[in-house]
Amino acid sequence: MSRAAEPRLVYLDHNATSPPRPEVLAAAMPLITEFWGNPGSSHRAGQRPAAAVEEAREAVALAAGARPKDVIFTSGATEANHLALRGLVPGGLGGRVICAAADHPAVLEPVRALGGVVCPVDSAGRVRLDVLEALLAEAPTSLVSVIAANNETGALQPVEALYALTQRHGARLHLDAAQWVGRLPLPTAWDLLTLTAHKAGGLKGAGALVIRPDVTLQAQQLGGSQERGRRAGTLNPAAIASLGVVAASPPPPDLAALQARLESGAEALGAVITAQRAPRLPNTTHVRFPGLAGSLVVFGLDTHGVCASVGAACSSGAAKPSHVLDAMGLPATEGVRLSVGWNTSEADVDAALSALAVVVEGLRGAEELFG
Amino acid sequence: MSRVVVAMSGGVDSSVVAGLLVEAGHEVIGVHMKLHDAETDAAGRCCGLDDALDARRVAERLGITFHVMDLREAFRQSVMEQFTETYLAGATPNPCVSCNGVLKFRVLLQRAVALGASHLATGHYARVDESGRTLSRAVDEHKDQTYFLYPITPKALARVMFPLGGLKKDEVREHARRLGLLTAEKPESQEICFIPDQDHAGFIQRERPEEDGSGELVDARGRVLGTHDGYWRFTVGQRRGLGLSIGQRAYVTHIDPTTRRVIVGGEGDLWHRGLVGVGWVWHDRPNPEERVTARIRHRGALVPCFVEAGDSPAVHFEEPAWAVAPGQAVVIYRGEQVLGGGTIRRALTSAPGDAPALAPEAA
Repeated sequence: MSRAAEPRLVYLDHNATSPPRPEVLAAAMPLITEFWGNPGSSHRAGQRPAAAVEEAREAVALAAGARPKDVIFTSGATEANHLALRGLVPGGLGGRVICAAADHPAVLEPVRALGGVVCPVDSAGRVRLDVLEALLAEAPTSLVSVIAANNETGALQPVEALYALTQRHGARLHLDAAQWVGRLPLPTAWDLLTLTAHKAGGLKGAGALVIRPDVTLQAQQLGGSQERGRRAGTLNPAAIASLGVVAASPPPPDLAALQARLESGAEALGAVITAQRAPRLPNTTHVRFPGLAGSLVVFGLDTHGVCASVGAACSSGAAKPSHVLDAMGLPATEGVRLSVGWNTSEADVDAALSALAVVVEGLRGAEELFG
Repeated sequence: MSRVVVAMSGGVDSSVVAGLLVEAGHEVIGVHMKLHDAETDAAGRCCGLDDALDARRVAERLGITFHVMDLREAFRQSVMEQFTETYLAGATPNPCVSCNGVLKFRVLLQRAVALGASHLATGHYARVDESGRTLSRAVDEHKDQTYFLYPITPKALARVMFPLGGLKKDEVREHARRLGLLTAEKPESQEICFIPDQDHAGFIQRERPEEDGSGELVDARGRVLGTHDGYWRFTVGQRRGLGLSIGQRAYVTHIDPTTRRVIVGGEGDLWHRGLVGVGWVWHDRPNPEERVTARIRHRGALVPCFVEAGDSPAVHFEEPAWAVAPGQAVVIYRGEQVLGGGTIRRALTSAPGDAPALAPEAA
């Protein structure tokens, strides 16, 4: 049978994943089709893939301001976070782990499993430094982990202040920078840094944990001696090469202009922009239409060919209340996230705004139609 | 063509609805309603993750937009809590009726219209005429679901489509195979989707652990015949689970939640002359002189009757009918057309000696 006609897709969900950039495909495709060898092999077929992995390692190290040998490739940000949280060998007396209430579940869940502490955030989603300071003073802490740029709101953490604070208390700082990569120059104030490829034009299946030279890690999966014994498992050269390309590419210059266009248009439709005055990523716009369920706005946009997100979903695909908004003291079911990226055009933004106008008007007008 | 939202459970019926509407040229949008967190059984039925994934795979096969809608809170309030309350009140609830009346044909329909849809389509076996004014029984009498659909208000009915109303189940499966849908051979869904083990008494005990439903089994004159461990285990007309030997077949004739007594009698005590119904929804109300038919249980016989005037009218059966169970739906038909329906409040009991000689159908 014939499928329904596909409308033109306007993709404004780069914070979920982004389409691969042409340079990424150029670097990755030969590593799938022709140079498919195992980079761990000593023979000829392993040579090119191994070289590609090391080139990517250098690119990532350069972007992060680290040594190549301190870059550990993983399957993605979740694994890198686990390696940081569970694998850090604490110096001195050790201590507990602290994360922030607006962190990604890939940090919150392991921290809860480790019996760690969750530090509250302010109304912009930023770590309450006063509370964190009290927590650090209260008991020995080995590691503080925060999401550097929030995946739902795009709000940036005050990483310099966080780093100064953790240094003062002898704790390590881990930044989950999965959403930061490819959008802003990488932060420098950290002890451990999580990166991923696929939010900024890379491929799914590659991430990295970058560490400072004095950080010691214990492998969390045992087996082969890949990654200097810190992460066993065959590497994925194509995806790793894509992370190298993403790390080496300057952020697209026009993200902030697209964001401004999107936000002024959304505000004209009655949207309230989340964390509007806080420093934010230039690609992430998180809005609420007070009184309207974010899931219905997102659903409506999808019926017009516009891909957006509520930010959090359960495994069935149903939207779930956002713990990030909840932690910020905002209605947890009203969020709509629109995130642009390297291939977003002004025409995309305008098409999204036209669809948004129709959807919001329809939802507002139809309340209690059959009630 | 118009935009139509299809409620996709992940079963074969709603999958075929989506496929047929795509073929008819509509812009089809699939919606899976997440209603509860009950774990599914081995066959993976109803609202679990597997069904949402099946529905999504069918949507992908058909090339349509698909979303999962979280309606757990509304379902808990409108269906699950009412289910428990009805049993606690000594009656037998009909959760599918409240799910249709509130969840599907109010909340979901409202959202569908808000999203620009002209109609909501479901996989129910029933027919709506082209004007959207008349609800009638399905061509496949064995599959007919109008008993559960009467609470759709006339205003809502105008925006509802039941594409399977003219088809037999075999034909629906044939369409599913023809369309290459992975749900083609999926088994029928179970009766109460949020209680996968179908143990409603266990569900009520978990919901209301503080309630003690245990009490006595008595006969019509109040003589104690035995005890039971929860009056909500029983429905009027029930024979199983009584554990009594009184010289004749014993049936539940009445449940009294205040004394927690379950009253037991013989078959002759259950031939009812009529009922009083409440919460009526009328599509086309018959006048009190018109001879119409009533259905008082799913797949039950059509009983010739007359419906009084008023908000909570009595329905008088032409001949006594077996085991009117409070809490169940009563649906009134003229021929195949649904005129309206309500909830049974109480039975009108027959005078002694009225019972016909016929044995009841298995109840």
